[in-house]
Amino acid sequence: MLRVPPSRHTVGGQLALLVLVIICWGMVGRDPLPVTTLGPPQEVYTSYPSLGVHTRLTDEVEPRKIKRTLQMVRELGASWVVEYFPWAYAEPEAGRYDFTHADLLVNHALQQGLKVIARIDYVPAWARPADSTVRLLPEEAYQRYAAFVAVFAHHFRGRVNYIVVWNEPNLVFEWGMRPADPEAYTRLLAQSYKAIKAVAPETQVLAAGLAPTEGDGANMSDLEFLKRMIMAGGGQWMDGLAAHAYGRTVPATEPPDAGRINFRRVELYHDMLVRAGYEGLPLYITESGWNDNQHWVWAVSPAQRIQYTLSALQVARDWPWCRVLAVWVLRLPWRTYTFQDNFTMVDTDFEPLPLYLEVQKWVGEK
Amino acid sequence: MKRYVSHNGSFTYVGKSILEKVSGLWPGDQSRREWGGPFSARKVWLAVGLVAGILSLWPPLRPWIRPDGTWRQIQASGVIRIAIDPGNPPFSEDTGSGLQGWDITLGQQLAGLWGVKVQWVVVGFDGLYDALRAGQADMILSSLPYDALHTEEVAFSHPYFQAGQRLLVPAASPVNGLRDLQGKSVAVEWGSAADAGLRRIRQGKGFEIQRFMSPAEAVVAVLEGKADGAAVDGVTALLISQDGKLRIVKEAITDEPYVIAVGREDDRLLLEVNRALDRVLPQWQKRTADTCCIQ
Repeated sequence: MLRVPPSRHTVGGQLALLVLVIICWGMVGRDPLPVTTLGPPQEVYTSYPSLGVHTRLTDEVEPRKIKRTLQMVRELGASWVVEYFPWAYAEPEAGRYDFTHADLLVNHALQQGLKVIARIDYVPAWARPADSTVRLLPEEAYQRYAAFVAVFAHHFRGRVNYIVVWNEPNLVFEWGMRPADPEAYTRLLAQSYKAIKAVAPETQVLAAGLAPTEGDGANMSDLEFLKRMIMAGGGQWMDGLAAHAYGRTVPATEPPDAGRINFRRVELYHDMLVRAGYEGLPLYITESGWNDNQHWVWAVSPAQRIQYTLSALQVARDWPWCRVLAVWVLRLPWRTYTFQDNFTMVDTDFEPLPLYLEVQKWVGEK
Repeated sequence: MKRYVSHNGSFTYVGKSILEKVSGLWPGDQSRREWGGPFSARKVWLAVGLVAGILSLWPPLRPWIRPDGTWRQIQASGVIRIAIDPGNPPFSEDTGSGLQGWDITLGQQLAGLWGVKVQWVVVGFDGLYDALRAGQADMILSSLPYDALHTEEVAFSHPYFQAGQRLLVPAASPVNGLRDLQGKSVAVEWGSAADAGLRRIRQGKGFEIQRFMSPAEAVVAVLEGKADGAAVDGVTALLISQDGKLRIVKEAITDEPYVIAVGREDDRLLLEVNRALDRVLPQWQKRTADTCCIQ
């Protein structure tokens, strides 16, 4: 009888060995993944110290992309960066804070020599009713928001000196699908102001940038909203007013008019503050710009977009009350294939678009 | 032939063939004995099953072995639901009396090939992928650019239109590619995507960029002999090239193909879309414009 010695190897074992060999083969000769360091400290060289850009790094995961974005802000000649810091990301559970991502981008911004303006909203689930929008903050939760912005101000003390309380509260969408309520917003601003000043008195608290709009029922005109805010005592609870100055389809030089949405509408904000006795309150334009998507109703041509933007820089130079003129938006993490792409200055792959190059040239020449 | 005696005393014959050698690779003689030798019926069936299983996983065969439910539903109902944003002429627009445009024509041609009717599902551009995900539509045909970010949830067809930035040159121009631009001048709308594209490819190609306030002015510059070429988007290039004075250089400045999207699991539908595109594109191109825009 023929006896064949039993094999010690199984099919599974042989396949596993084969896979292991393939993996090892693939790894041979490969460089390790690069580590993104802060790099040496940089300075912004610019002829326009109040120039800024709004970045969109909230959803940008990779440190190298965060660093490259902020490098491009500096290389543009912009000293200010406006960024969105969602409350829900940093306090996913009540009292548990995670500033890992926020620290990453703030540290990179500082290393590039930039000043950071932080806009804070986006309500975590634990601070709002079930099934409500992330922009709904019930009045009974104002103290929770105020507590968070105070923690934020304390954590970033000396690094982030400007905090914007909420965003465009004159819009139904931004106010949690409720009708705009300037008095309620003023109460939120007051609580936030007191909480921030208690832990970081030097931090500048900015009232939310309002959406330039004529108002249509539940959405309230920005001018009406600001007027009622001031009447509710809002002026004493802010160190400055954030503002959004979009030009829509008209040049930057078009004079301000309450019935028109244009770049110089922010002059009406300033006039209102002055009339109310707050002439010392500066404006920080945290969003501005023109769009050149041919399918969007509020768009201009690409050439006009460049012309109007450069003209806006010139116009804002003559506004001593305007501390910052930030353009919306440097770059988006991915293409949306909507009109939003046509607000960007840099492509998703970090290629500078013509507007970026023209602004960079203009700032360098002036 | 050799004769082996198994553990229970039965005989197994093995020929000196490739099969014998292959079967010899089977590990463990314990297994060999239990399976009754390399030519046993069980082993043959196992091998057949294994091969069939592997083949069923091979993507090109999957639509035939396992037709997707969407394709079956289209066939059964005689209707294909196509998501479209009718706000992008000349591809699609709502004229008030119905939808019109190149995408509408293409959708009807595809449906005609399959012997079904089109039910247009009108949604905004932002909602196209949601309509597909939610099962409100079977596919998206809406001047949709290929977007790698969505490839985990949808499958894209072959391109049917090159919407990227294109170079227009006089019909008799010696320029046949971007490499031929050395020493030439190209007119472009200042700040446009074409301008961005030219700035990007300019390095090493040695051409001059002339900037104008509109694409029309850039084209006029070429017609008047003030520039050697004009860079415009694919649709504009297609429309302008119709009178034959200018032609489109085949090599695009930037690549932005329009594609059709179907559900990620709808292998059969994707296969049918691609096969149908191959058949109808020449006809569709004739109805829309010059074939040179399709690559």
